[in-house]
Amino acid sequence: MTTVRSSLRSIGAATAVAALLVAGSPAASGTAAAADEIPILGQALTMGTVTAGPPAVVTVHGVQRVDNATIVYWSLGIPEGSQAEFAASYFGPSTLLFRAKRTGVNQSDVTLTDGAAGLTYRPMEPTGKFRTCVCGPSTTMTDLTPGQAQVIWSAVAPLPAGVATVDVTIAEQVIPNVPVGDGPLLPLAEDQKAPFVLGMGWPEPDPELLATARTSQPAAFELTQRVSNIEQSVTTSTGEVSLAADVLFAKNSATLTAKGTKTVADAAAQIKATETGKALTVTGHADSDGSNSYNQSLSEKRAKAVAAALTKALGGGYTITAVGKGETEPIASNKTTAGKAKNRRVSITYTGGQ
Amino acid sequence: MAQPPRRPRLTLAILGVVSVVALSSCTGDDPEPSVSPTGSASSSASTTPSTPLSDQSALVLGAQLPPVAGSSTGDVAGAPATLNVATVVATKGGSVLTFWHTGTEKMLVNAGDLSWEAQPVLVDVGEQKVYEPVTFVDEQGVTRCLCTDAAYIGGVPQPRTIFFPELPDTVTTVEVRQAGFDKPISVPVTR
Repeated sequence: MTTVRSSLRSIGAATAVAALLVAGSPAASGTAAAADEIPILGQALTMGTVTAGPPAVVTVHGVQRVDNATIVYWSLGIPEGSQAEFAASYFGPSTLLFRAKRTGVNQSDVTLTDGAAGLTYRPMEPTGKFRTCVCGPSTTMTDLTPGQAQVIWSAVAPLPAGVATVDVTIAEQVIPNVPVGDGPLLPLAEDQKAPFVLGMGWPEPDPELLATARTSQPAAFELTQRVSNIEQSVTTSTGEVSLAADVLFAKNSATLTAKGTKTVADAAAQIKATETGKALTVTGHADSDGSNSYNQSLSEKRAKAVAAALTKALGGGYTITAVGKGETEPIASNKTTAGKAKNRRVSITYTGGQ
Repeated sequence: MAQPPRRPRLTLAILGVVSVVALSSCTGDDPEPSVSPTGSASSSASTTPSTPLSDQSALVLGAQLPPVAGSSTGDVAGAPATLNVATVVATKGGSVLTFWHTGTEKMLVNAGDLSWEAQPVLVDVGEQKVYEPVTFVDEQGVTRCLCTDAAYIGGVPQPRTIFFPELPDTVTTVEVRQAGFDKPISVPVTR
C-alpha cells in the first residue's frame, strides 16, 4: 500500500498514482494492476433522496482524453448499512431529470468545468434510438450492493489541449482539482460485462457508441461568474456590470434616486478602470410582476435614465445604446422574492476590458 | 462506515470531497513520498504490478464527511435549520463550497440548481466583495447554477457543493452567508 498511502498527501502525488494506471504505453495493456494502484483523484459523498444510513461515495479515478471525447472514469460505492433500495436514489431528484433526454439520464450527468476559461463541458450525446447516454451500462446503478464500489465511464465533450485540471460534477456534486490525462485506463477488466467492481480492471468505453456519439451543441456552457459589492447593488461578470434596480429606482419609477445616481457613478468608474471598449449597451430588465407591456415600457425608461446618468458620469468618448427587455431575460427564478430582486436590474454590457 | 484495515493515512486522505486538497497544504510535516511520482496523469503505465486484480471497494468506501468548520442557526425554506459549512476549496478558475443543512424537520429543500439566488454566498470581508454561485444558461434557456439540487434536512447530513468564482490568491478566509441565517460563518480557504 505504499503507493496509495504516500501519494495521498497531495494532489500532485495522488496524480502519480493515476499515472501508474493510465494507458499510452502498450506495456500496460492487459497487465494486471496492483491492487494498491487505484487512482483516487477526488471524492464526494452524496445522499440524493436517501434520508438515512451512510452516504454513497463518488470517486473520480480518471479524466482521460481519447479520440473526440473525454472519458471520465468514476465509481459509485455504497457502504455497508445503506438504506437505499436502488443505488440511483443517491443521485438525487434532479440528476435523473437534469438536462434529461440529452445526457446521462441513467448514470447521472457528468460535466467538466474549466473555470479559468469560464466553461463547463457537457456530456456527449448518443445517436442511437435506445441509448440515453454515452456511458457504461446502467446495470451499474441497479446491481450495486452495499459494501461495493463499481466503476462507470461517462463521455464528455473533448477538452482543449491546454486544460490540465478540471472540476468534475457528478451526482450533483462538484469535485475540485482533478488532473486530466491521456488515453483509456488500463488494464481492462477481463469480463467487459457490468458490473465493474473497483479493482477488477477498468471498463472499456464502447468504441461503437463513442464512434457514433456526437458533441452536444454547444459542447460547453459558458459560465457567468458574478462578484458584487457588499450591498450587492453592483455586480460584475464578464463583459457586464449589473445594477440592482431596487437601488436605482423607487418601485415603478424610472427616475434615479440619489443613491441610484451614485451607484451609476460607481459603475462608470469601474467601467473606466476596466478599460472597456467604447460602445456600451444599457439594458433594462424587469421581474414578471405586472403585464408584459408595462414591464417592457418600464425597462426601456429605466435603461434610458441610466444611460443618461452614465453618459454624464463617463464624461464622453463612449457610445451608449439604451434598450429594454422587460421580463424576457430573467437571470433568476421569478417564483421567489430573492429571484425577482435579481431580475429587476439594469445591465451595462461592453466588449473588451480587463 | 467501512474502514479499510491498516490504512490510517489512506483513511485520512479520503475524507470526502476536499480531503485530498486539504492534505496538499500540509507540506513540511511528513517525509516526501517514497514512491516515484511523475506529477502527471498523462504519461506512463504500470509495468510491474505487485498484486493481482481484486475487489478494492474498501479503498473508497471509507470516505467521510469533512469536519464542520462552522455553523449558524436560522431557517431555510421556512423550516428551522442549521447551516453547516465544511470547506471552501480554491480551484483553477473557481472555488468549491461544501456544506449541508441539518434540522429536526424532515423536509426537502427544493432551492437548488434553479435557485442560485437562494444559495449561500462567499464574502471577502477585507475587500467587501460578494462571490455568488456560478451559473450557466442551459439548452432550454434556463439559468442554473453549478450546485447540488434539492436536499433533505432532518436525518443524516446531506452534503451539497456549489461552484463559485475564483477567489484572489490573497484571500485566505471567507465568510459564508445565506439569507435566513444571521451569523456569518468564517472558513479558511484551502489551496
